[in-house]
Formats: sequence, structure tokens, C-alpha cells
Amino acid sequence: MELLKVENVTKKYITKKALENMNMTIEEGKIYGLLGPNGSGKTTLMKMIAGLIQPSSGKIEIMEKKIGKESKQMVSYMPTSNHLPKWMKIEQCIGYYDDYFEDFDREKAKELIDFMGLKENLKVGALSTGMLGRLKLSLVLSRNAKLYVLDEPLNGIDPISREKIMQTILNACQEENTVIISSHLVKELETILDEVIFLEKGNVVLSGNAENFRIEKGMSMDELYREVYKDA
Amino acid sequence: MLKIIKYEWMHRFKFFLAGFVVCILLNIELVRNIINKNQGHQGTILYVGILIALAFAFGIGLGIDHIRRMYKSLFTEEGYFLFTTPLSGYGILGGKLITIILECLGITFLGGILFFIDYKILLNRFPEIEITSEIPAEIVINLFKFFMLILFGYITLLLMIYLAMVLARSIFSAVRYGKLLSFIFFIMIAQVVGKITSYIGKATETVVYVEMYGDAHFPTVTNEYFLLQICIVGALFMITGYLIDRKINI
Repeated sequence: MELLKVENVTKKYITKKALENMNMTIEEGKIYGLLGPNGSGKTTLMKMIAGLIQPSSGKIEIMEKKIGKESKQMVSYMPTSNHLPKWMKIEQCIGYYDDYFEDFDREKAKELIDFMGLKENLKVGALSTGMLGRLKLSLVLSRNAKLYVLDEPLNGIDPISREKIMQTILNACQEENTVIISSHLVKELETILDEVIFLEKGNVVLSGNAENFRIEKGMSMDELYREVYKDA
Repeated sequence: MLKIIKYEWMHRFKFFLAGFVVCILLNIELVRNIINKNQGHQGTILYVGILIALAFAFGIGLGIDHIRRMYKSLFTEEGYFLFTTPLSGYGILGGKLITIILECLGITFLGGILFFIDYKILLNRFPEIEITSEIPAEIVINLFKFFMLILFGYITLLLMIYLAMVLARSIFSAVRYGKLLSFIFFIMIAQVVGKITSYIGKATETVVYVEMYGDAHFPTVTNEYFLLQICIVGALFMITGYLIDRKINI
């Protein structure tokens, strides 16, 4: 079933177009890898889905609903940067999410945070990059959302934490959940991706089933990534 | 909206608590000085001066903080959380404004309580300061209206600033020199609001007039002017809320 529809979406900034007449559909129950070099439009698209940015033209719909109050109830977004107040302790962050999102599962959050090796009495401002990444992901995945949008969840994360994060994504998401992950670390993501979407200069250059690409092209996603962007 | 109030205060309660404790301690010292006449008039003047300076500094600090709250939501990554929650733009703006209004009312109320307690304590020592005649209800109502007018004026100022900031992060976000344009817009909005207020004020003949009661002068406000202020606040709120709800680009 179609969950997300991006129709002729363009986003113009002062000096450039971040997205240009982009068309894309996302189906329920799959893990999508949104891949591309810096400036290809991944973050812009994700922010649009989350409702932080408006398209210059075109439309985005989630379960046939325009981006707004209703769609935000269905989307759980994790930005690249830290969006949590630095003065808060982890236990307060759990309360923060619980207060604002009806679908937030407090017990699941505590389990994930424990699994990630974090202590609830730590302040957000005192966390390292890796610990912050693990905290953000724990909170975002503790929502029972229709669509999880994870922008570069592996950025600045050490290899051991990356493994934990990948494991958490796989365990936390049920069959009916949909995940869109963007990353440059294609090798790390490869094992969990169902579908891949390659972006370049604000548009989709290649998309499809990851396994089919492996069989047809006889190469891994990492190799395919290098092939697609060899001239970039 | 209540959640916004909760988290705004969770972060700031220590600041408010410290401010109140310092004011109460200084107030106690002032009253003690007046009663005992320890340091004479100079001591009293000094304490009054410190209290006024502190209240002034606290007020300025609070005003800056009120602006900073919206700035942080619009111009830092902390806003990513708030604007991805299933709250409407009107809800977000309303939550922030209600927090500010409650703070202003709370500070005024506490100030009033302190003043009343001081009056009762000093009454024992100086019975001649007692107010023997009854204060008419009309004076109380007019004082209340005047206070509400100051509050509405402050909220109007804040909304104009918020609108300018929201413009910078919505319609003007993809425009060169968007922030400068927003500042210019702020100046224009302030001019327009000022002109409307002045024009309507003249049309209703009297905007603010002074009544005499015994030897006391009291300012008062016509109901028409009061209604005008409510309409201006309402219009600014709706425009800003709409932009946050539909046009935000952060």
C-alpha cells in the first residue's frame, strides 16, 4: 500500500534548487535507503516529509493527507543535528517525547536506552556524539509511528555503536512500519535495506529493490553507489 | 499548549525562584530599615533604589528571554522537535504567549502580595498611613483595565517581533536578505499598528483620559480602545500562527 507520495516537488533556495520536479512513492512495511552525495537533496526531502520545510511547488502526501498536524502524528523524524534541549536529562527527554506524542511507548524507550548503554540521569549536553546519536534513535524508535525518517543516523558514530544502532532499527521496527534512512555509509546499511533510492542534484536517478539490483547488476549496494556517482 | 508551558517553566523555574528570593530578602531588609530607622533616610533610599534597579534589570532580562524563546525555536535545531510535533502553528504560538502572560500576571500578583504584606507590617508601626476611606469599585476596575492595557501593549510588541522572526523563517527564507526584509517589515508593522491605534483613538474621541477622585489622579481607558487592542492582538496572532502552521521553512 502506498504510504508516501512525492509529486513534482521542487524546492528552490536563493542560489540553487535543492529538489527539482521530484517524483517518488514509498510503500508500507519496507526499509528504504535514501542515498546520494552531499547536496543531492536527501535532508531537504526528509525535512519536507517531517513538515519543517515547504516545497516551492508540487505536493507531498502521507496516506493521502497533506503534510501538517495529521501527518506529523504518523511520522517520527530524527534529524542529523541535536534537536534535544541540552539542559535536559535523558529521563526528562523520555517525558518530553511522552508528553508530545500519543504513540510514544515509555517502556520501550527505557529498554532501548538501557540497551544502548545510556544512563537516565545524564544530561544531553554532557553526551558524546555517539551517545547522543544512540539517545536520539532510542527516542525516535520508541514511537509507534507509521513512518520513521532517519537522517544520517550513523554520522559520527563509532563502529560498535553503529552495530547497536543497526540492530536497534531492525528490532524496533515491526513489519507494518516503514523506515527511510539516509546515509553515506552504504556498506553498513546494505544488510537491512529493502529498497534503495539514489538521488542526484535534487532528483531520483535510480530506485528499486536492493536484492534485485544485487542480482541484476551483480554488485553490492556500495559498489552500485560508486558506479552511480562516479562522475559526481 | 499546556506541554509548552510545562517545558518553558521547567527550564526557567530556578531563575524565577532566585529572583523572587532576592526580591523578598531585599524587601524584608527595606521594611526592617524603615521600622528601625537604622541607617536613616539614606538607608531606605538605598534599599528602594536597589529594589527598583533589580526589578528593572529583571524586567529587561525577562523581556529579552521572551523574545529569545521564539528565536531559539525558529533559528536553532531545538525547533526541529517542536515543529515536528502534531501541534498546529496556532497552538505553538498560543502556548508560548500564554506562558508569557501567566508569568507577567504571576509577577504582578506576587508584587502586589509583597506590597500588601509590607503595608500591613508598616501599619503597626505607622498607623497614620492607614487608608480609611473605601476605594470605589470604579477605580479598581479602571486600574485593572490600565494594567491589562499595558499587558496587551507588551503582547502586541512581542507578536510584532515574533511575526518578523517567523517571516524570516517562512516567506522570506528563500529570499536574498530575508532577515533584513523581516526587520524592515517589523518597522512597517509597528508604524501601521501605531497609525491604526492613533486613527481609531481619534475617531472614538477619547483614548485615555484622567479622572479625578479626591486628590488622586487615575488613568482610565475607553472600552472602544480596549477592544481595538484586542483586535490588533488577534490579527497579529492569526497571521503569525498561520505562517507557523503552513509556511514554515526551518
